[in-house]
Amino acid sequence: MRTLGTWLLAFAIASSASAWTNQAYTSMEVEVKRGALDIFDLNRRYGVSTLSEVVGYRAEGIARYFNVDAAITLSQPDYSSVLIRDAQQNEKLLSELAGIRNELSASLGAEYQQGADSVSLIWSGSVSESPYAFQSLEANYRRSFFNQSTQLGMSAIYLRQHAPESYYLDPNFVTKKRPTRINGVEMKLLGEQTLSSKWKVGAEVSLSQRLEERPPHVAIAIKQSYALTSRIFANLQFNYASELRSVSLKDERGYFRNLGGQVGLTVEPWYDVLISAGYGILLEDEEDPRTGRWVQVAGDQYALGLRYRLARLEFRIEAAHVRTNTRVENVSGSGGVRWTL
Amino acid sequence: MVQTDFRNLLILSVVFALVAGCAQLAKMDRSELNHPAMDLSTLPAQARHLTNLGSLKQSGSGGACSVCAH
Repeated sequence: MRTLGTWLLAFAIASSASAWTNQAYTSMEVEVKRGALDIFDLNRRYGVSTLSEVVGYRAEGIARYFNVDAAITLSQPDYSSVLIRDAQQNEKLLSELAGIRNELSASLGAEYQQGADSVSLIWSGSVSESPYAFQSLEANYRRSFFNQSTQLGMSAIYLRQHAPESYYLDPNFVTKKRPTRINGVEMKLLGEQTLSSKWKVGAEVSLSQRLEERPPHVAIAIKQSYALTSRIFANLQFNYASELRSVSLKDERGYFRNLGGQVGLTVEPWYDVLISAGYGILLEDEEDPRTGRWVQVAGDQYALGLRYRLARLEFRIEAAHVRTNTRVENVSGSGGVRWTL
Repeated sequence: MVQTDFRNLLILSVVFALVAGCAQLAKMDRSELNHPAMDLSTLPAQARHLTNLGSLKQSGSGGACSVCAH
């Protein structure tokens, strides 16, 4: 019976091989950032640059209903912006403690799609040594109604991550060790609704927590896109996230909250050439009821992007600039190619 | 009793109107809705500098969390 099942599965896969769609893709990201090492001492500055490259392969339509995606990420991290304190409160940069030059991570995903239903499972994790080595598992389910006019979905993520050994002073000036193994969970509900032939709206609500480190937080995102003409498109996003004040704090930092929004415009001057520009603003604050401390950081964000599809190739290039009132300055650039084989 | 019946009827009418409206949307021209620029899932996430809320996996690389809670 088992052999028969294996043969049937092999036959289904082989007979559908001609109907597969295969895609190879690669993308590269460069980030240069200058900021403050300590939010309470903005004169202690850092400057870092990081590089990461993703190479992946995606096959769609295996045995009609299955898609698989596998990718490898090679990154060259820069840890000279991370302050590590030992039990005597001596400070050192993580880059002096971790001599790692390259880090490798991988992801593997499988998706089953039939009719209006789609289920996927994605594993990702560190393959090489890293001070922040991780493993995560993500499950998604999505269902659409009325020819995709309405879509509902849910997702769950479990994360296990290492962190470098470090200590901090709590509000009572007692030295405490930070957790070096962190479990994280996230549950998300999402919906998307078409309002007219030119307008769609989406909403996401999530509850997540890094269990040993922070109180849980609730995040809400509302997104809209609108076709102004057949070649000009506008989008609008609103985000809010807040940690639950009903759960007590686990380290020296207070409760965090975010409020942000961004607008974007995409123009298609020639067929399959997309040029986009965006502006966003984000307000973040930290409030600690134990000490009465309140800190607020606000940042302006600007972005430019270009996408071009040429036959079976799709090129993408993006650049972003961020500046905050705490003199964090961040310039990032990324680009990639997707090749449908 | 009459009030409850009226309320139920009102709720049913609203639900029917919503379902009928969505069903009507299914028949419309989707050429602009299916354009890649209209894809809500590809809109970029906002970069954070104090809190890292919204990012379950965190990494010290790139100065993303030098001032946030780790």
